[in-house]
Amino acid sequence: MNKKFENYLKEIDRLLKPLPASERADIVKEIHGSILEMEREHLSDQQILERLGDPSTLARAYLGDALTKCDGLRPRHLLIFLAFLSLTGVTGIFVIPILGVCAPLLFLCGIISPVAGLVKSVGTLLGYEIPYIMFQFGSFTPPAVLVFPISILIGIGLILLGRGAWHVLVLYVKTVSNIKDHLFDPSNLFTRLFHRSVNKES
Amino acid sequence: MNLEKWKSQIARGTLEYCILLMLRKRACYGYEILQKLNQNPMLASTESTVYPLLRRLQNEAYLCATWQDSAQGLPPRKYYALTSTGQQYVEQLSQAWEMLQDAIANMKEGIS
Repeated sequence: MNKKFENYLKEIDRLLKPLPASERADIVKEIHGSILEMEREHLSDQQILERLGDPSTLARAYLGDALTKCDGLRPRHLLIFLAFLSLTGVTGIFVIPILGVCAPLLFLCGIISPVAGLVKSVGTLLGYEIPYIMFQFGSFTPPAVLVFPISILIGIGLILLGRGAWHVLVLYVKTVSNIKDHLFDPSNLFTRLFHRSVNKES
Repeated sequence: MNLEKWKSQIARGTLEYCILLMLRKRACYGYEILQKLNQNPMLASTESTVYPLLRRLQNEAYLCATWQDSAQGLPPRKYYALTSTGQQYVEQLSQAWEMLQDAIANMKEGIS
């Protein structure tokens, strides 16, 4: 076979690298067949090459079709998926347990604080000094009258913090799950690739 | 210039239907399909449009293909035939085509 055509077919084969080897061989064989048919019809080499057109145009016609259907492995999507897994894996280790523990504990403390304030104030009123409950902010110790109102304020603050921590936790979980849904959306290319490889195995 | 553009768009849009119609009668090999298309100036095509199209139809299971390897000095030929899904698909395309023709006929008659 003519050296020009040999090079042409080699170039096609090279450009079709993203396709599976068997499919590539089939395509090259069919184009080779076409060249032989044209030679049988006594077309000149130049005419044949003109009709086949630029190898990259021909290859792109095959690939364009295959890529929109996700025939080949798409490294970009795989990378995005891996990045997603790593990021949620690493942040999940911290975010979920810390917020999961903090939120209910902050709530609990928010309830304990006014209760303790009430006990302390009642004790002071009755003339008892309860040593187990102390209100102190650095060097500042509030006067007995202010203990109960301050304890209520602290309680509200803690409960608000707990609620905030809980909302952040819920938001985090929802966001992660939304991103996951998006990555596995049936209309998403990555998912189709994923299902394809699963189908191939079965 | 606009006319040529329009013609090529029509040709591109109907190429699939034309090839499937051709295969409804009997199995054909790729080069044969090309030659038959090229007998009609409106449908003239090259390898770079027809072969990828055949492959797509094959991947979509509308066509099945068998290689007939070179016998008596003939080049190896890949024969394409309609599958049962492909046959159903052509019928659907034919129906749609008839609807389009009716619609065009209506436009010509100027039906309100």
